Amino acid sequence: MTATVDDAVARGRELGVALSDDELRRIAEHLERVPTATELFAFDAQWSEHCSYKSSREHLKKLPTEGPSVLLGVGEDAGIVRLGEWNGETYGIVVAHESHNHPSQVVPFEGAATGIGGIVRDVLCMGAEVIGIADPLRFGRLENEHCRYVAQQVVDGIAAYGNAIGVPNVGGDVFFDESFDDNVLVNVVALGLVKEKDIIHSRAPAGSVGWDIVLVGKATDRSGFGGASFSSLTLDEEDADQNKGAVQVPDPFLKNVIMRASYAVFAALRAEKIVAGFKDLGAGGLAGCSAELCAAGGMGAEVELDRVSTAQPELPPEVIAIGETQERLCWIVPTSFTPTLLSIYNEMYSLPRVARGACAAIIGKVTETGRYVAKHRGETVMDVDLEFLTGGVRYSRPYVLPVVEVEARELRRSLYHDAARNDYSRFEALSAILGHRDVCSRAPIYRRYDGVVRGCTAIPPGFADAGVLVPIPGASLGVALGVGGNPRYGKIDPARAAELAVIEAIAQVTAVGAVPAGLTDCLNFGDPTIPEQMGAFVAAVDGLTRASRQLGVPFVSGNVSLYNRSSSGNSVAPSPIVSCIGTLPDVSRSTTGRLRRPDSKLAFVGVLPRTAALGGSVYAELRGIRSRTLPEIDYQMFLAACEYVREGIARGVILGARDVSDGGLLAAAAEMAFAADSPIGFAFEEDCGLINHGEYGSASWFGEHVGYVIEVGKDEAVRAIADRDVPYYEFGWTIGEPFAERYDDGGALNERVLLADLREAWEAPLRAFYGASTGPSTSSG
Amino acid sequence: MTGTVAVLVFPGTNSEDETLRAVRAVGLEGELVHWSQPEKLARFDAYILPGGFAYEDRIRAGAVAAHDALMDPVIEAAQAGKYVLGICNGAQILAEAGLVPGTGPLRRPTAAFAPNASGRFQSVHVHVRLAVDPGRVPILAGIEPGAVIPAWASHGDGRLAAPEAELARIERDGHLAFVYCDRDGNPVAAPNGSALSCAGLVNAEGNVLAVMPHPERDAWTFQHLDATRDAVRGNTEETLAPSGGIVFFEAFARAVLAEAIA
Amino acid sequence: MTQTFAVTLTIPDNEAFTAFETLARLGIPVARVVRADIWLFVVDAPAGDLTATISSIETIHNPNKHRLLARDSDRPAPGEVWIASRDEARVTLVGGRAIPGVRAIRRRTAWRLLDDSGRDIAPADLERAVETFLCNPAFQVAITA
Repeated sequence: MTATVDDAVARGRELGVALSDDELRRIAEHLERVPTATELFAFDAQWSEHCSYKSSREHLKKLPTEGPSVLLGVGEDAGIVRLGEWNGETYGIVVAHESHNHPSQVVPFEGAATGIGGIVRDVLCMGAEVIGIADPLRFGRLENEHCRYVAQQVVDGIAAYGNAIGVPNVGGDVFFDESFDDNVLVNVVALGLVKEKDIIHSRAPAGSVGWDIVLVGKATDRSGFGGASFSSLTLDEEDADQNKGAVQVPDPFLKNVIMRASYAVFAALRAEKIVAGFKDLGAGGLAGCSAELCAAGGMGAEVELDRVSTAQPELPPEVIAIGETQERLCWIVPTSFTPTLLSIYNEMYSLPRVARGACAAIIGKVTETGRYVAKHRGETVMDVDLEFLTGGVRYSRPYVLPVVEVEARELRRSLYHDAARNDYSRFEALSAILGHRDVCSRAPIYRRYDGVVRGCTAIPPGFADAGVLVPIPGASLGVALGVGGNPRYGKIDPARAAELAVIEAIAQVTAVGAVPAGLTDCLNFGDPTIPEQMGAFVAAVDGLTRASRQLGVPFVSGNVSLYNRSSSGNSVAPSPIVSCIGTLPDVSRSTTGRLRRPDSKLAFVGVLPRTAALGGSVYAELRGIRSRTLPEIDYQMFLAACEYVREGIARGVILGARDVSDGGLLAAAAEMAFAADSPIGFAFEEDCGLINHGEYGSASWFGEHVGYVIEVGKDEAVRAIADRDVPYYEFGWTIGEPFAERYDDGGALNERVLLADLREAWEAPLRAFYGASTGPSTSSG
Repeated sequence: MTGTVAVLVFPGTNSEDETLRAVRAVGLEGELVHWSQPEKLARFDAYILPGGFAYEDRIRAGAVAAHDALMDPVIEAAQAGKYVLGICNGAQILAEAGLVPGTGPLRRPTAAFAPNASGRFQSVHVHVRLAVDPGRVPILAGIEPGAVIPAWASHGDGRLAAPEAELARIERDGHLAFVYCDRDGNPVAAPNGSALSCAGLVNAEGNVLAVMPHPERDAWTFQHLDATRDAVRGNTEETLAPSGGIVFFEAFARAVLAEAIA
Repeated sequence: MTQTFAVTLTIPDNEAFTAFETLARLGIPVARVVRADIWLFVVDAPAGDLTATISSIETIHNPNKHRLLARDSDRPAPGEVWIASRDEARVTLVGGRAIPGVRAIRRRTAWRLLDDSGRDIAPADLERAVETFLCNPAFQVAITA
């Protein structure tokens, strides 16, 4: 036995798998023999961080995952929240959230494109129509040549893929930070629409012994071999070329056709009342996918690798079994249905004509053995216990929680006071904030994305904090999608950053009038084997848990991406990125985030700060204030504000709303003015600052408070909803001229700027970078 | 008698559902006809080629589809005087098929919706104005002179390009069906660098129309970005009702229905 | 001076495959279609490391699926036709990136149509393929050797 174990370790090392010596020993001891190459690569993928969550799982189980809005919780490829009833049917919104960070650093265009391809399959395989995507992006500094290249290519990759498949891009966010110079974050969220009764599960159904396992999609090739373990490695400049081979080649055109063909299969299954199993091929390839399908149903599988359509001759069995060629899905269907399935993909939707070698083909059978057996040219190349393979491994990594300094009041006062001494005017500060890389207009990016294909978009990017879709034609039900996660906060306090990310995502959907129905997260962190970096992750999960519990919104799906760090070993800014799915029972009772008419009031509704907190703010960065005090959180106040905003919107009293976040109150008001349909400006009174402590004036206007800026109409209407214990604070009003105005404590006009000048400051930075032509358009393929 | 309209689906098409919805909203009997069903195509009163990326824009946007067998019956129908409408990728296909401006032989294009001046895909809200006498576009029966239609220009290849002489002919002979404008109908620069600020081309007979922007993406009140949607806030029915870009399809429906009755 | 590179796919070339299907439908006697992206770099002086630079720009060369070959000439090879845009703007960036010493970048698509013995099809047939399909004269030009 010892000899076998030693041979297994040697074999693993020789093949270059990322499994540890201990893991290789466990496998050899379990199998009681030296594993085959195919088995080693299968374990390598299944036991990778990417597939098994081996470092993160014990912490993730703390997250609240249940609630009345959850139709399908964590556990499958995507979660599902309840949208509502229409024509006697219950509809759900499928939501998945993934990262494609490492591939996007190495091959940014295809890495980002493939990220969309993968998440779309996660949604599709729940039996859903894919209705929307959004991309939270974290780029390095644009002063750096390579970062500029990555930032361009990622956006082009997202555009190329999303536009071609015909799924609207309705949101996302972008931050730039030096910690992402060597390790970009490309997260992607996708939404789908499904009737509750038509949900398809990623498992072999009960009684499916003898059913066909059918592989659909692109011909298998060498691309993407070793992807799962690659994404769990630290990027090293020297390996960059070698790593490129681990990134798959996307084909959005084929995906477009596969999606439509799959919708036709869903209809055929419904017509014949058949329950099938469906899952996308992601990390771990064919073996990973079919193994997980069969394991989830308590079955076994027998697969003939020779029946897999391949793009290159003489592919070794481990590449066929484990390679991560894109645009593939796996069905488990009764043999009686197989001819229908094959004919839909191969004839009606003619996959072989769309891409060479693409097809649907039977590749195996479901068995009752609980084992995964794969054969290649008559030889058994894999024969393992499914539970052992897919059960993965678990680690309790040692961690050190981050120490968060509590800033003494005196220190904070002196920090802010120093900055206030040579104060520039409010509008000079506002102009600088609006031109900051993390606040400025994102239009040059989202204009490259199709945000309105499918004809279901009620609010495309730019008009409100959340994107809104009306996914069922004729029904008033709406879906809102918000995203939050500020890297500047993450660097100061990962736990608080996680809480603020949840708050921001919820605030965004609330600002259009939606009810938060579910959360998803993508947790982008550093090396889990380094206790400090693991500690940041653990702290963030605690923060997410606290916010989710306090606000009563559960997590329905999520993803963890570790080893995000530079070759020098520094972690990226701890980045818990959270998205919130909100539902609108009646989209006519929603609103946008733009000013609507002159002479209405501008108010702040939210957590009224008791003290100045500029830590992590854009203003603090611009002024060099080194405070580490993050925005104040009071869950009860925030909940009351959310309810107020939602009710005010439903009653039509609140004309428009935005959450405060990056840049503060005035930046939010300015963005509302920029989005207005006609020239409407705004004015504010200096002594209406939320915190009246002299030198803290800047903190009032530029602090990134938890809460909303709202435009409200008539007095009596305001009173109708103001009659409750809600922190509501009027700070200004709208004007019928294209100006921003500041009135001093005595009510005299003190400073006035053209809205157009502020707008120019806001639009210029990314227009210069993303707006200009970037070179000859390249061909497809 | 209802007019029947085939909405063609090529591999890569992606706007078929919303186009079909618009067609049905104006009282036409619409049906998706898939690339594997060419035999179905003969029996329709009119045809729409919707947006997307037919055949992945391989070789050139619209080029492969223009030569596809699926287009044979459509070209025959166009020559027989039936109405054929192309939107976005459909417009590119009609140009590649030589049906618009229709001044040369079939499938020998004289003009193109070429790559945007910026070299890339762009999605922006626009307005387009009818730039010809309504009598020149029987396919949009009864459309008002100078009608302004809201739409989304969401494409990478929408810039009208043609030799000078052909551009002059397009302008002179009334092939320039739509131009980009502001919401009041005043001319604006084309977002894609299109020659003549062209947003749409029509053939000499006025039965084949190609428009680059998508009116079907701004054809319901909830899709509008202007004050019309705020004006009906709280009114579910009005919010979900067709309006705006739907006038384009209403005009198309009048044409198809008149033809179907005749 | 100009430095020329041809980029071909190492994975199945679906675009060439589709071109083949369409050309066959048009009656062109073709058995195989070969396609390449041609990149022309106008440079002040021969830039030795240009190959290295551009091979790291994914838009031009992605090692996952592309093969990059330097060409001796900035003209098409015999039997080859290049399709260019008639009104191409002067471009100096590729993938948002400027390349030191490069004054202009031009892109062409190169086509070669082969018969079943692997030889170029007759010039008259190639011309017909160009006129009927490969080139839209409204905005493109075809360049042959």
